[in-house]
Amino acid sequence: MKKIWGILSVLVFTVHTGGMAALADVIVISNQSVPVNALNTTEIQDVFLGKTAKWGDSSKVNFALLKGDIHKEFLKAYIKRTESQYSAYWKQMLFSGKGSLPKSFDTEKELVQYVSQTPGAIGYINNTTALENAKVISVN
Amino acid sequence: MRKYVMMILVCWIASSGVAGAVDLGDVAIHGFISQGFLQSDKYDYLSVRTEEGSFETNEMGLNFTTQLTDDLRVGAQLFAQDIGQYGNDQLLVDWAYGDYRWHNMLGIRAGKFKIAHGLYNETRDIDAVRTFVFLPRAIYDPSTRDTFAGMKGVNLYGELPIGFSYHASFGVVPPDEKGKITKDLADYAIYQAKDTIGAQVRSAVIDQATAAYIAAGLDPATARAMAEANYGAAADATAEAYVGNTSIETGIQDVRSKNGKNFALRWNPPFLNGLRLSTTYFGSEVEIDMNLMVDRPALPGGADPPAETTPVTIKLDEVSSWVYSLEYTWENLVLSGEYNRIKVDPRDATTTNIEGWSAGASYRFNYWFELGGYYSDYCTDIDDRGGDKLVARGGPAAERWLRDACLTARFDVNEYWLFKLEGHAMRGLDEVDWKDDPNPGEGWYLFAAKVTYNF
Repeated sequence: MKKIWGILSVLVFTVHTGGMAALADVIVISNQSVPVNALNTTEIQDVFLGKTAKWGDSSKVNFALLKGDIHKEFLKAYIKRTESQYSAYWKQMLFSGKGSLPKSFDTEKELVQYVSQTPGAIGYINNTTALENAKVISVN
Repeated sequence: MRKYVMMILVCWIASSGVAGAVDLGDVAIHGFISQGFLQSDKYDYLSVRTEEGSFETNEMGLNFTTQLTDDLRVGAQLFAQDIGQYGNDQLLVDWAYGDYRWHNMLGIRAGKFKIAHGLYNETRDIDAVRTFVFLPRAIYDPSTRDTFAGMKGVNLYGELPIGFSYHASFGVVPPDEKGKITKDLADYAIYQAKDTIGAQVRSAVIDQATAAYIAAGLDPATARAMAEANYGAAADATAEAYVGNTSIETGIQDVRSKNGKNFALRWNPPFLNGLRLSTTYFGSEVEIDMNLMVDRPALPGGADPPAETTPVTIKLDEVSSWVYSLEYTWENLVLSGEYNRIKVDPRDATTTNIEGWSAGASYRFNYWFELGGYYSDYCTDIDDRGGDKLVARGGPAAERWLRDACLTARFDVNEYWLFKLEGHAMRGLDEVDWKDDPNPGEGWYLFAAKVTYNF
């Protein structure tokens, strides 16, 4: 019995720390013009679900997605949706006329370039990627 | 023909973009096309020949959107659908509007936009975004899509603090001339006209008998009572036979609506991620002008009367619905429950209250496979839950309801292609053609398959 509990504890610890490691790997970045330096998880959700359309200074929110594993980790950690749920959400918005599909990029370099050059832009990358002119948004 | 033009357009634009969306400068183009197959073990459902198996169910759409300025977005979606006698691939503007987002808490749309009715009405035509082929009939009746699909007017919307959002629309919602609401009202006008003709014939028979008793020396009151007592049943039979031989057809002239209102209040409680609560209201007044073409037989001993055409206007003081919904998403599991109450209030007749509820669940096992099921209970008149009024009119009681236990398997081939297999165990005969069966049972089965491409 003790052995089973031991194995379960290791599994739970592995899954738990695995999630934390993924969370730590993803950072949220924005254009220098974005008038915030920190966001909480709910605020990040609202941005990437298109609910927050304007920053506090009334400039437009331009959020961008990154294809691949980082995208899945970001959705799981911050948006609390799976990739297919997130995709279905934006198709609902698209075909009901309530929104347009978000911009998405194949590589982190392209995304960083877009965020650096586009006022109001926000995105996410792996924490090892060069930031160019973007700034890091800390997550509360 | 229109179906094929639309189909060619969707396919051509889809192939231009290889697999994904098409961008013409700043205009993004997206679309979808679905083809279904329906087979029942008995009866035809939703006027589709399901008993012999039918492909007469499809939908397709094509939309164009562009962001003109940071705050202003414009777009339109063309849409065609066919399900039995409804839709018939008539090309419609599904939505077309300018959307000005002034603030997170206030945006305004002008044009034609989708009606908020329950959680899923705004995307009821988009097969790719849901688990099921058929959404629960209790909330999303396919035969009344024309009434609940879209509204022309002005829409205000926005996000409020602590997870609330709202949607308020004002405008008009004219039902389709060939839609179910129009058809039901035309049937109602025929029913009313036959009732009036029957009463006239019955009265004529009783008057004749009363006159004979008066001629025999009875006073008028006693003569009338004697006529009712001795000739009442015969008068009923004569009236019924006469009405049975009277042919009445309707010609719809115009369908209008006014005072359309649509409100939605939704809440994602910040303390429980994944929970979504919603209340929606939709209401409108409807008027239908139609011609009643009456061809009645000669009365016994009378001349054959000429066919008459009488213009009539049927007014609905209120067609409204309230829907209360709950959805909870926990990782790959989605649970949902909805309750719907529809009120149909004709000016000169009894109000009908329609009620439905559904509860369902879906689970996505991996990228390509999802399984879902729901139970849906729909009653077309809550003041006659047992169907006694229908039995009095000679129909089966089970035509009053439809109870549906549904199980679906959804397969996503890739981001663009998917197909679904779905089974329904039905109890009830609402929107079911049972006329070939003199003693219809209420239990039957429906199988649905559907393939969808979207880009």
